[in-house]
Amino acid sequence: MANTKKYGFSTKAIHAGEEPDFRDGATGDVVIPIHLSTTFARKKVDEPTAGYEYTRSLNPTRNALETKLASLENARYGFAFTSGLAAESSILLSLVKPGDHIIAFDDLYGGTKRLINNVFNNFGFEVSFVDAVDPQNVRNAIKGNTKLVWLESPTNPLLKLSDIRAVSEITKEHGIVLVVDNTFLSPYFQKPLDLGADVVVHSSTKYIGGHSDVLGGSVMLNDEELFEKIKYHQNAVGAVLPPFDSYLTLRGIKTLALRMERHNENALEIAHFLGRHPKVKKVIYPGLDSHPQYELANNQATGFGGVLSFEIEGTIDDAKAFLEKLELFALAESLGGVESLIELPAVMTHSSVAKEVREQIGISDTLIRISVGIEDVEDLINDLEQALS
Amino acid sequence: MSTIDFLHAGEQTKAIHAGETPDPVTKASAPNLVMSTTFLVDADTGFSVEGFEESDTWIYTRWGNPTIHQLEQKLAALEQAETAIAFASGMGAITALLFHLLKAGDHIVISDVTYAALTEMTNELIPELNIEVSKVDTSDLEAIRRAVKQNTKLIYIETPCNPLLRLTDIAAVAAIAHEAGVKLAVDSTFATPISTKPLLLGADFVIHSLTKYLGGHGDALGGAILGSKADLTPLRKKTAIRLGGVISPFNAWLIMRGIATLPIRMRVHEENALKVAHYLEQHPKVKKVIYPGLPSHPQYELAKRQMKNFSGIITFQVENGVEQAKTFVEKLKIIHYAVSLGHHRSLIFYLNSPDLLKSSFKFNTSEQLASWNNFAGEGIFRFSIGLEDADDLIADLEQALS
Repeated sequence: MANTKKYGFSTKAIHAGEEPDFRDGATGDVVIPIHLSTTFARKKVDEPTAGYEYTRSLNPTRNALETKLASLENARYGFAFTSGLAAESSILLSLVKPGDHIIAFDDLYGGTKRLINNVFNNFGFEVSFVDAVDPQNVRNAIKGNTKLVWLESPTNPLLKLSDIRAVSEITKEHGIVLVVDNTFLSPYFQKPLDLGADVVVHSSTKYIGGHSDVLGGSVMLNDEELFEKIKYHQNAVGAVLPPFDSYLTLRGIKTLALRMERHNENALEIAHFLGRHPKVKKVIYPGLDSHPQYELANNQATGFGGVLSFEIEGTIDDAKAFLEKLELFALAESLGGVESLIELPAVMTHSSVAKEVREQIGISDTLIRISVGIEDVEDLINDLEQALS
Repeated sequence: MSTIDFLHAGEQTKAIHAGETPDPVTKASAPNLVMSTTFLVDADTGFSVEGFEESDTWIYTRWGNPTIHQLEQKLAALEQAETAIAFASGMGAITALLFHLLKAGDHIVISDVTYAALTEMTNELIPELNIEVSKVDTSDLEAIRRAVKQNTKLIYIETPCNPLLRLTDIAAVAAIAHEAGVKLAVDSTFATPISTKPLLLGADFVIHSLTKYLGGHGDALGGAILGSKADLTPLRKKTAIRLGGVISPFNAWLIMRGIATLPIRMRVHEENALKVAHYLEQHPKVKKVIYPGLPSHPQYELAKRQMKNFSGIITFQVENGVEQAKTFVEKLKIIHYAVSLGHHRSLIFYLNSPDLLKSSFKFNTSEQLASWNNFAGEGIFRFSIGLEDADDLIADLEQALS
């Protein structure tokens, strides 16, 4: 698979990085082995055998995953980290220096905001949070020292979109690096690099891994200079995805296309069901024509993903009562797994945000987020129905 | 079954039992491996790092996970620490420590010879963040005292240091640090808690690359920071959770499995190292052997005082090390020519002084260079002596040296 560009997504998801090993003495296995070894013996003093020296720097199983990850985003390079935040830390350390300015979507994942505000602020990084639903807000925030624009699209949990093409035109004009967190749609539905972004980041804990059994973070990009910088920091900081976890992630990716289709199908049906339900005030899902950016959703992605939010009638206690009545939906953090998960942002993911601020940005007491799994959708709808009644 | 008093238990009992209680549901005696990234919660469980306490129920694996927690408890028991945090690698642990304690304008005093990856990080990345770095020979207490300034926040030492096996007097440095109101971190990877317990000697933080002796089998990267709850709880909330360099539960489980044999492994590592060191000392081709367990070690008195076990790493010098390295790669049968150390398997690697002084170690004074030359000469073989039969290792060296 030297030229992966000519193959479809599923073919790449299955084959990229995992060519059968026919070298002398190799077994011809079609699945990459889990190379647990932390160190690699040398045949010659001056060079590591086959390039491998120490697992933190390079490991065959992680390397297979990194190759596969790159191919999924049509990228030249891929990286696998221990978590989405470790991936983000390495991007920030590599691309921003003290005194530099970052522009970030004001609806970013809380962990990313805290990483920027509570860790990197100690070293003199400047940041402006803007509403990136309107690309002009990004343009207006640019200063002489702006080095990075950081977007998520769709955002969590409000599912706001940012026009990646339009923002990339602005960043290109100013020589600014555009980073897009593509966790919510996965490369199956959206390819930010093809839309003009410079760096893509994922929490592979979510759809890419897909089975809620492995943490991970991915970075994909095309630029060689950015690649070298991130490679250096990946090794220096040492938050590399272990071989076993790399294997679980590789294994998950093989069904990514099938899973995403099903997540999307189920989410759309549930969105329609909820939209018709008298106890539901509002449904937010980019696949509904009621979403204010429905046209953009169709324009920059080929699907809408499996996360949707909705607001029910009543008080916070009604919301809690509803959640506790559910049988199939697990009340838990995280998303993107095969199983359906549900949460109440006001008391769970966004409990640290003041109530007034929360309500101002649209996270009311009864806003509920679902990560729709790939179970039979009738069963999911029946469960929601019984819990709402 | 009632609980074990780990404060008074022996090392081998702690290595086996600490952190591992039988599974409450299945009564499984060996620990489960919990790979789940998320955990079911009640409807009003908060999800904010600020409100997060160690004793809270499990929420999300990056914050805490039952398997990782078991490893952390075991590590804490071995170091007699209040608490421990595990990371994806030793460098992951060190990064979290430095990013937690230091901000722009602060100053760190660090050993001029440390693990090369850390030396390189403090040559480049840390100064780029506007943190001042002073590198001193930390076996020289006066040099440390002179280097401490108003804005010093941390003294960072390795003992024995990699690759020189030069020692630093932990208790003496702790006294200097605390007099100045500065924290002391000790990388104790080479010593292990079986040899030295830096916290009991006054250190504030202990760092381990779990990849080495603790895991001990060369199959899992990992790192850890140990210390007081007062120091580590904020660190966990800030850089451990936020930088995201979390250890995989699978690696935690493998490392925990490795620790069960740590005390008996260290005994054999030391036994083998002494035998091999004595053999090498009398070999006509060997110019110098450095091992903390040999009376010829320049700091043998300190070694005896500070190390209950001299561990399994020796260095030695021969005429024309570069050529000998090539011969070793060709001729050695049992000993692997590879980086890393602390494994059950013997590993050897040649470290050429001119190359290292160019790429990593930069000295400010002639005394610092003299100390390097005293320990390393033109170059050293760093030999991590494994658990094979010592006679076989000696025979392997004998045929490859002749």
